Amino acid sequence: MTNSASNEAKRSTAGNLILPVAGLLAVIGVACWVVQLIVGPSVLADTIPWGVYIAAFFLLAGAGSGLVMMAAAGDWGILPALKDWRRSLLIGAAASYIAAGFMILLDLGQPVRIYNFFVSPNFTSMFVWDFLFLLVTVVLVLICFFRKETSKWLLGLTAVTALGIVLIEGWILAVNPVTVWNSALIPVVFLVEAIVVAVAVLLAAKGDAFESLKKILIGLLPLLLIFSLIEMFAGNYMGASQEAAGTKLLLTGSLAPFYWGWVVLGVALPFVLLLWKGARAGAVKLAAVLAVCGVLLAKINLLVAGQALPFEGGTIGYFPSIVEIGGMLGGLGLAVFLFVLGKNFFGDAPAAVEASAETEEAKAPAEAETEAEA
Amino acid sequence: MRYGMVISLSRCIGCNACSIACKHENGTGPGVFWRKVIITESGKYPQAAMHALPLLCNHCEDPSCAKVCPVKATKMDANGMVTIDAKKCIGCRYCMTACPYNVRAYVRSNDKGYFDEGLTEYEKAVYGEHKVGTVEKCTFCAQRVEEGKNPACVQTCPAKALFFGDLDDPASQVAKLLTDNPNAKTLKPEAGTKPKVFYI
Repeated sequence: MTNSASNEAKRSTAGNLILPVAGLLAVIGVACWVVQLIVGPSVLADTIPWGVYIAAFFLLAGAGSGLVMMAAAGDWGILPALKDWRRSLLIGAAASYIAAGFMILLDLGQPVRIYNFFVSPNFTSMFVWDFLFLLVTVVLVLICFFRKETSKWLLGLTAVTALGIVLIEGWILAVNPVTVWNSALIPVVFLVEAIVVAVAVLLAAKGDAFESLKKILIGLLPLLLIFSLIEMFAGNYMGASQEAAGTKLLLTGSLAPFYWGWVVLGVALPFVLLLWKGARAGAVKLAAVLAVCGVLLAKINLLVAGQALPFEGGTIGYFPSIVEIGGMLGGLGLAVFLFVLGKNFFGDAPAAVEASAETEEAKAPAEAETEAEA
Repeated sequence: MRYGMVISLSRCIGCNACSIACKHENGTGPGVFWRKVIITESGKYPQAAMHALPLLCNHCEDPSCAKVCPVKATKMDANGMVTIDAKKCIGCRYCMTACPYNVRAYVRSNDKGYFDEGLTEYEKAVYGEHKVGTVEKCTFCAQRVEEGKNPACVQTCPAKALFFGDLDDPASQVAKLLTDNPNAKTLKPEAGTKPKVFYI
């Protein structure tokens, strides 16, 4: 057996494992939900109102929106290499949104009453805005997917509503008069994170194919760190005690392992791996997975830091319960499971995809040569 | 009519009798406090001091909790009280994150008592009224106010530090106290919620 054939066989085995592993995680997630429904929310950590469920919801909703934006970027010629990935991206987006919905069901204390969103909606609540934008975007994604003739205008509109989801979710935190959250940068951070996750998902799926996406990730990862530094500087320059407490919590307090974990594993390591010229596809995929985990960590840090400094003073600790961890992994597993299942069921255009990837690979040196000649 | 409360910080002795009276009247479970007294210290010996701050729902004029509630479970009644409809609440806890005063509680269970030997007869009678998976908070003891009584905390305070009444009625004790104390403060005025609990 040649080396390439052996590598291909390894990839195929790994690919075959994804569906059962993701399915198992999804089953664990559903099992955790059933436990919650039977025992009640007492099985969850009781110190922080919004924990890992909401963090995973933000991650998945952001991923869905990022993937829709990537699909639109392909159609509109901004990222031509993605044009042939349209169907896969839309399946990924739908899978992410469905999994995000599952996270919300897990988080609600009275999930059966979700019908109140329809019968008694409060239009001043950003949750209702988010719900409506999610609903409209999912419908548009499905229309874009099943429509025989592709329309870049329709996909463009879908990308706009997907962008709305990300911004609204950022505002849900930013408009609160709460330390760490109360910043106009939060929606921008959410937007960058959504694109980072979408790009990382693509790189994780096809690590060595997209040179242009690698460059996007290399550019965006340090940007997230810069945003964090901007927030800390702006909050601490005048010496406000609450802001200082928030910064201390992240840098040296109970959230320090998670904050520095994000900096090292979620930003620095993937950044170095992506910059590494001789990196194999495996290293690029590892960088992509680390970037997604990093965004999840960043969202947990942001959520918890905003709630850990209560009005009455002191600091509230938080660590998710086993049920919460299982539920969160279940939501992430569900997204991957639905994506792989959807891709297997509805199919893709592999020939076009391979051709596109090869075209991009061939195009890069050709472009470099043209520039050198100029 | 606008019900409100005035709290005299100089009278409060930090005994938490109000917290206990609230639990007794409303039958809240372990870990759930609709009102509490925050004790803080300042200065250093020999000039050290202890301060007590009774904290409860501020029944704000512009309540952020009602604004963010996605299903209109939290609303302001005609008498100015901010209430939660337990039958509507979906337990999303958005109101808890939006409340600047951290005075809302999430009901995680209604079958766990304070003691290992199970629920007392009283707990059995009252805990069922608290719907698991919903958010609740101080109601100004609406059930007592309807009967013309003061909230349980006001009734119980041994130092007479708590006053309750109609802020719109110039003859009420709370309105007079606010007239006599133009420097009465509210908590976190920068949050823009216009609380109806005043501290003098």
